[in-house]
Amino acid sequence: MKTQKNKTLYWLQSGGCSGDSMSILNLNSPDLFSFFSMLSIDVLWHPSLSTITYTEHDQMLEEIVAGERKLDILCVEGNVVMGPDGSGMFDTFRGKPKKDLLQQLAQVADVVVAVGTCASFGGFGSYEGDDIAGIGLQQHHNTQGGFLGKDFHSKKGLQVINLPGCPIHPKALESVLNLVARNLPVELGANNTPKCYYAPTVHQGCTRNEHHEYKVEENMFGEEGCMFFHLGCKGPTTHASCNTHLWNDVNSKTRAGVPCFGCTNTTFPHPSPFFETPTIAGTPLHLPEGVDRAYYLAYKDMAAEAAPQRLKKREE
Amino acid sequence: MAKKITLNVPLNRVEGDLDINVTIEDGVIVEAKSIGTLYRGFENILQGRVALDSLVVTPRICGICSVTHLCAAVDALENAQNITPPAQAVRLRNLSLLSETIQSDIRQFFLMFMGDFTNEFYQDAPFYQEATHHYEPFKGASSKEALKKTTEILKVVAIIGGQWPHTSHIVPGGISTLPSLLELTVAQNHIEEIISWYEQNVLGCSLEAFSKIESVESFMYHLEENAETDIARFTRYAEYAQLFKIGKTSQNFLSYGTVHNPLNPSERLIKAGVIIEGKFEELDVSKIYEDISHSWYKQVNVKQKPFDGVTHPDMKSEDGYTWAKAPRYAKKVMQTGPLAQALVNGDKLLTSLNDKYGDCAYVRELARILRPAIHLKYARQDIQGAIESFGDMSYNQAVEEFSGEGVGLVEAARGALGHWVRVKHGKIENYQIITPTAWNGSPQDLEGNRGAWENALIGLECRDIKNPMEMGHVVRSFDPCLVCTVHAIDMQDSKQKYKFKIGL
Repeated sequence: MKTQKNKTLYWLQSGGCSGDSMSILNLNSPDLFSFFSMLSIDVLWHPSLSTITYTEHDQMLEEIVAGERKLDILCVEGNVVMGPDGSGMFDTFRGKPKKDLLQQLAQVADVVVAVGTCASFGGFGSYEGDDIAGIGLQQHHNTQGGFLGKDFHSKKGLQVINLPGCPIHPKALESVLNLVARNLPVELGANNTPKCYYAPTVHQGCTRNEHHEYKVEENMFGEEGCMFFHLGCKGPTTHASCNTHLWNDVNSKTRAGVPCFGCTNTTFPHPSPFFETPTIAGTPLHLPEGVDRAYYLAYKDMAAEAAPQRLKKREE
Repeated sequence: MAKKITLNVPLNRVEGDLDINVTIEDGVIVEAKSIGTLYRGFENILQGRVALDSLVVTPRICGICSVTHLCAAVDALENAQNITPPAQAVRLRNLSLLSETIQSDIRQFFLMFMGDFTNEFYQDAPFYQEATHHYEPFKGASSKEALKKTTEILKVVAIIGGQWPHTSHIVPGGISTLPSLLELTVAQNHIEEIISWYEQNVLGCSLEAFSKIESVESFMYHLEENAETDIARFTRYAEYAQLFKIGKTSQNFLSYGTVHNPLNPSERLIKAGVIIEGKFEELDVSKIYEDISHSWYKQVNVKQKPFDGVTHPDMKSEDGYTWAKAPRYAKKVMQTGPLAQALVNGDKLLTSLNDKYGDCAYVRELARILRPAIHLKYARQDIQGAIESFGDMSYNQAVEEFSGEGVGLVEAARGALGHWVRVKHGKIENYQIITPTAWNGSPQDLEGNRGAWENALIGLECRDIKNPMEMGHVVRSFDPCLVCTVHAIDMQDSKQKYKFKIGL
């Protein structure tokens, strides 16, 4: 494999649940540790995995911030905690707001990666009235800027690479590090997310697509119909590869009867109820991306009439 | 004159952010304060949302035990509505929770605990090269293999619930899905694969044979006969590191019990209870309260029942030093986790180890890596039951708008986890969470009793303050999870803006 000399990676956890770290540990073939070693990625620090002492860690941070030690990849997990009152004191490291450390590290890193929805767009604790006043690294919900500002570019001239997901799918991180380690460009799409993972919708590849096609709707848990019309499924309006690269290599939420909550979306966790589809005149308010409402609804009504008995049977 | 220093030690390889503030006199810890440094305000996020949203929000409290929070959220809602799930759903829930817990125990032991023995602190120890070969972070042969096995056991959760972490397949009244017979048999294969690895590498014998080892003597004999197992290596390293002597805190233990009987879901096959000063008692939830005298809250109503807590954040509060509150059971500091679970359930081997060595760091950590020996047997039983009952319904209740309050008590990987919810007209009015790490990592209370691991640190010799390895062993033997703990705060007046001055 054509990689240059070792790349260094520093993993910073801020306002989060460690779920992204737990998720990437599920990477398989190769496993996460083999993956790092194959790509010659030298993990300088991961708070859940590293064993260097706190004094060595202090020293390492000093050297990185002073530019004496190369930092190729900065991964940030969790949102930037600004509360209370902009002080950041709800999340501290060595008695100082962690956001200050993040600011310093972002200035010296070649590539900055926001791991998970909290780091990308704010996520949990990012709505008005939420105590921690969390924001994303370079985006807050739909607005560019976030903590680092919309003009921020890393040392390599790149904006923050957003890898949303609650948690991140291990393949999303794998695909980006695969490119970075090989010094290949990472093509970004909407909201600075890499196209290689976020181009498809969650709907694509869902095993309940046929039910969606014929508008065989699920009204309650435990059935096998489509959850888009009543149970709040956001699969058709959410970009991620959940149903093309399966979770834990075997399944996805929608295949298991759990609606897609749109966890890669910029406004996750949106305030409207997760298990309900917002409707307008009895039809879903948000339709699959790009469809014409009138045509779509006419088509769905006809499709429901044409639905095969074997799909409808479960309604008996 | 005695040489006295005070310093803050940030601890890694715990979930979330934890500082320990210690005062060391002549190389011995004389005071210890556990400081949760991250606050996340989750209860506030829950208030005002529809009740079912807790199934999506609470798993996000913790990335390592998201299914556990989901179970507690659902238990609380079922408790409030008096719902009993069908047997098949109980089996699939048991399997989800058991798989997550087995994953957590294995990852904690191999990735977060054993790595310490590869630190340069032990470079002169006779086992240093062996430990490095097996347990070096990112490289150790045994750790890498263990990591792979955890990804296998998590496939069981994913087969049942779609993904791990952060799914919401467990719902009031049952489970969202009906795995096919093919999927269930594949899940069974994954479970058998883990059992086989665990028997060969960790235990050195079958689960059945191991369950017959009940005394310290026969256990030590087993380790001698199976020297190349992980528990034997751990025991050798622990002996060298004196883990048999350090980390004791008390003989007060709390467990909510786990593994529900599919045919009688209110019965827990691993039973709930407390041990107070060595004596077993039935669990009485009404004896649980939280003390905020040393937490960053305005000091009114210092002792609060979970449903009635009122909390005003105040970093100026004179004795406050952490965002964590101090849960107490009938005024007692309790420790919770795998050792508590085993002792409350009357496990013979761990009872005899605890009788001989006390609740030292060795016994506490050993209880964690031995727990899969029990849990895997239940997993084996439940997957077999699910296959035999294939086709039975797994959901029996339509969700309706309701008002009421409920408690969900679940045994998490780290111990007793409780959710208290009050719902009004279908919306969450109040939500309170008391996590295992709140029990283990609590600050002092009004009576001056230190939290469980604070107390375990007192008297500990600390040979190198730049690399306080002994502290790490003691605190990590509790398997701390701070991402859970420091936002288990009842934010009833959360709209209030904080005006307090910052300056620690």
